[in-house]
Amino acid sequence: MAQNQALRWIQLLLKCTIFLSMTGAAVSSRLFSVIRFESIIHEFDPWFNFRATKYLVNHGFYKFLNWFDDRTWYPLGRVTGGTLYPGLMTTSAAVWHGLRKIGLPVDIRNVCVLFAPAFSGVTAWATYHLTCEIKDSGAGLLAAGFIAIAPGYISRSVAGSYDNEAIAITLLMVTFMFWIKAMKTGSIMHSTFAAVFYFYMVSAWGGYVFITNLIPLHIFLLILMGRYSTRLYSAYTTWYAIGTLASMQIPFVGFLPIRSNDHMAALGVFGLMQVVALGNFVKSQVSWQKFKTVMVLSLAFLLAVGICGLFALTYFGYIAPWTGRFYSLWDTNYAKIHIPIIASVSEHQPTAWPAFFFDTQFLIWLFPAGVFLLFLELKDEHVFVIAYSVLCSYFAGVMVRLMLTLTPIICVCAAVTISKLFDVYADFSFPQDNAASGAISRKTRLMTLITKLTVCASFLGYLYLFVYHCTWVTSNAYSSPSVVLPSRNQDGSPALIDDFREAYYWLRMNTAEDAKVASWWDYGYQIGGMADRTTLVDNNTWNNTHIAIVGKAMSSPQDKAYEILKEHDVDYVLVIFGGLIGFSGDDINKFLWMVRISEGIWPDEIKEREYFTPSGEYRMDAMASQTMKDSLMYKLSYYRFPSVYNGVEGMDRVRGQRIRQQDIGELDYFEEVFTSENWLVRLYKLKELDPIGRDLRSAGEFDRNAARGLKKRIARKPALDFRV
Amino acid sequence: MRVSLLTNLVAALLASVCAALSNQALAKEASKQKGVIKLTNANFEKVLGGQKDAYLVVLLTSTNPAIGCTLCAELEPEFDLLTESWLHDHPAGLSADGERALFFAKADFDAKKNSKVFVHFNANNVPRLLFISPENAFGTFSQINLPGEPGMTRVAAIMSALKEATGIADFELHQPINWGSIAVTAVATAVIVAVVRRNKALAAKLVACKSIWGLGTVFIIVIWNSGYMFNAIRGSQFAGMSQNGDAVIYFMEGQQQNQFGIETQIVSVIYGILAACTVGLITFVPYAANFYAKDKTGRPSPSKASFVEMILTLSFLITLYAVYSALMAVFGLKSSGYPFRLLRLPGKY
Repeated sequence: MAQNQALRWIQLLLKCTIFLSMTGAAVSSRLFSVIRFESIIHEFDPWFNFRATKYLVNHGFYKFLNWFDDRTWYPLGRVTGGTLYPGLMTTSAAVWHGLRKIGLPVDIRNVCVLFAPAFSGVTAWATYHLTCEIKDSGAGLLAAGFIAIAPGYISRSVAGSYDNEAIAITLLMVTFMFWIKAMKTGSIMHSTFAAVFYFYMVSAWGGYVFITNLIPLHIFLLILMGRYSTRLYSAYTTWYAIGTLASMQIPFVGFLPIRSNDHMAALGVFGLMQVVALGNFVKSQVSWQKFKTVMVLSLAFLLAVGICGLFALTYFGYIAPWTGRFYSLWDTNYAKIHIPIIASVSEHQPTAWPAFFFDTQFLIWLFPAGVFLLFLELKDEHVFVIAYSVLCSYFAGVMVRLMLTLTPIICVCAAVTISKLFDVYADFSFPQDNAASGAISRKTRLMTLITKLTVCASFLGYLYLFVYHCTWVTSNAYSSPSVVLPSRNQDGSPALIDDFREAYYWLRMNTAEDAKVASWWDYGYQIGGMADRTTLVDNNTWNNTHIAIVGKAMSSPQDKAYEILKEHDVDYVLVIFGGLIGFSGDDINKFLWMVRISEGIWPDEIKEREYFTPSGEYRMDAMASQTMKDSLMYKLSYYRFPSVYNGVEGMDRVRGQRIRQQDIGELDYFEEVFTSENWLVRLYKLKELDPIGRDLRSAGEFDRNAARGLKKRIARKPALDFRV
Repeated sequence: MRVSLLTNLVAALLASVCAALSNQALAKEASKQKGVIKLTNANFEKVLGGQKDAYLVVLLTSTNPAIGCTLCAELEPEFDLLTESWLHDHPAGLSADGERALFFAKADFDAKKNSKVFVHFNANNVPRLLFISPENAFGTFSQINLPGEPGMTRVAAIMSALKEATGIADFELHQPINWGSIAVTAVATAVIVAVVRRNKALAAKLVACKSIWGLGTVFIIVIWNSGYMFNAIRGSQFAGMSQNGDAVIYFMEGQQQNQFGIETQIVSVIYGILAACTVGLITFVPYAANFYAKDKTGRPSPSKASFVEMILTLSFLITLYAVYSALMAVFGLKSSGYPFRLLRLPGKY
């Protein structure tokens, strides 16, 4: 007895140590970027979240919920408080206030930067408990270890990537953990917890729809398999009732849970659950024959009423049809045809196989093995894991960014596989005291030992390799802030390209506080966050037409573009140009999307075909089409570019083409005000209207002719000395 | 003097009228060759030139396998479908209002027979789909964009482009009904239904069989995880050809965000073997050891059991190691700079 107690203590101690070191590994492997660069917010969306968090901390919760942001989407503005998921910001504000309360006043930026790594520890803990329910604590520890360092999850949770996903995966795992517990025991407490965390998830990420559909799917499958029980009934109805009511409290979600088709499955299964429960009751009361007729009749009736009702409600507009993003998951061509703005985002591209291996390494082949092993047992909770695996494998294949939701279940299944393997082979206790089997020869023992040792050794070796792989991937692929770009000097020493911040800082210090900056939407959040200037469009992409306006301005000739931009009160235009240093993510490479998106709105004025050469190539050199050479984007990107070389021809290093001065021509409607060190960011000001009413082109022509005709007149100023 | 000028003029006019083919002649020419006029060095000036009032769609292509133009091969049935759909409704090539005529012509590259056609159109790459309108002078043409996605999407896109360019409204698509496929489906369904009705008990057993469901699910997961959806969405090429065209390339080297269709197949086989070995280690090996734990007479034979166990385990492990090494090597091809390898074959990589 005492020995047992001691063993339990040792086990607890070991578990605690393992958890501590796992959290340590999870956090520290996410800190590469902070150590290499600095504590900085990454990429694009996090800048908005950061700005919103600052607003929340400065103005309080109620003002935050009612926040109307007039500094974006000029002149429309954005009802920011009602169109964002506040979970992320409120959590970090709570952390910030909490730390202040205990006497640790930390800068809100540092809270935001280190938010994701901190929550990855919680994810590991939740994954542990989830896997414990699926198999046992051994598998749980393995799964927690996997999720802590799997690159598929790290990709969205390194320090500085302050995005909704950073907290969402944690909440996803916690919700699922409580759901599995609830569904196994029928406990109302656990399903209430699941509902509460579901609410938290709804407040944090649009991907909550995944939970809204997965849990009903789980229930539906169980009912189909004839596994209905009162446990399921109490778990699901509690979760659905509380979760739905709670989720409707988020302003952005509002009445969606009862009006949008994305949520109808949950409602339908809720109804089905009542019917099945009633059927079960009736079945226990009447004879089988009678029950059969009742069942068939009522099922047919319910189905007819349900389907008709759904169609009627959709037709009369009480239920919103599916959202575009949802369509694009099922009909993979939908986005390409109907919503180019969704198709233009690189995160929404389909996934090639190396991405799977890159993000999960050997877990990717342990994963199907794990699913198969779960099939052999097929308990109720295993059905959940299988449904999750199949659905997410599909989603991850269709969209790169959904790799993120697949990774946790890969970790769980792979952990189940490895743990089962070790259950069989890592048991080194021999049945030596077993008298019945007789003496076991040394040779037999040796053979068994070899078997077990080789299996354990080789899988430990693979695990070891996995750790190296994860560290390498994290360090090389996922730790760049993308605001600051790492590069090398000619002698090989590391250098940083800091053009973005240089330009944004210039904007902040040198332009009027209410200046409006037009740029492609990718840079909207950064301009708002770093330069604090008003933008026309940003990464929120809620208004396709507004984005198309900017696209149209960029693809039109300069006089027309000037008109469009003036109409929208724009003061500055910002373009990203990578041709000088070979930065391939620049605006010219995104230009076709601008053309496509504006063609969607003005098919008569903008035609994608005209931007290609006659043989259908996308070129910038002498062979480029005239429409291309005339477009504002071309002019603003290459203006003065050949002057870096010989003044006649410049070499674009991204596209490997020679750009001629004569193609670029003159810039009459815009003037260059700032170009960053490596020419990455170029800023132009819209010229003032001509004081004597000429159009700017003829004014420019006139000035040039005048300059050609006249020698430079030297303005002599009268000498103004102090007269003594 | 004046007379000779007049005769010259008349002669020139006559010549131009004779040189160009009228709509009827074009229709005749087309019907001779199953609806598509074949352009050759001899006839192309006659077909394309002069004053006519028909729109012409010209496909410059090269289906010769030696040239290796996969897009040309893809386009071939689509172009035929387009032509047949047009001729199905308009056997004379005239639109319903009788005002506009549309004909289809094609030149499949052959250095001896039709090289001049390609020179005429300045074609330096194939396939090209060109459009000639009667309003414009001889030698002017415009190009029709070929969308990237193959099949019906492309046919529909070309058709709508043609409708817009010609102003012909009654251009409908007529897909030939594939009776063979329908028949096969019908027969197969009937056979399956009959078989199921005969062996109800067995069918019920199969439907309830966990392993079958498990295998099916795992199969789907494996192919989805090896980039099947990427191929489906992007319509990737099945495999590549080396520069000189004498070797097949299986992997797009150094490109992590792109792949050939065959890569999915290779990788899913690799994943399948690896997963099968792991499942074998977990379930099959203990089962086999248990099976041999007692010999035929029922006496325990631990030595034989552990021998079988060891052999099976080692063979699974070695397969696993070899295939996993292959996977790492393949991934190394895709991701340049990936530092980890397992087994290094001497010489290569």
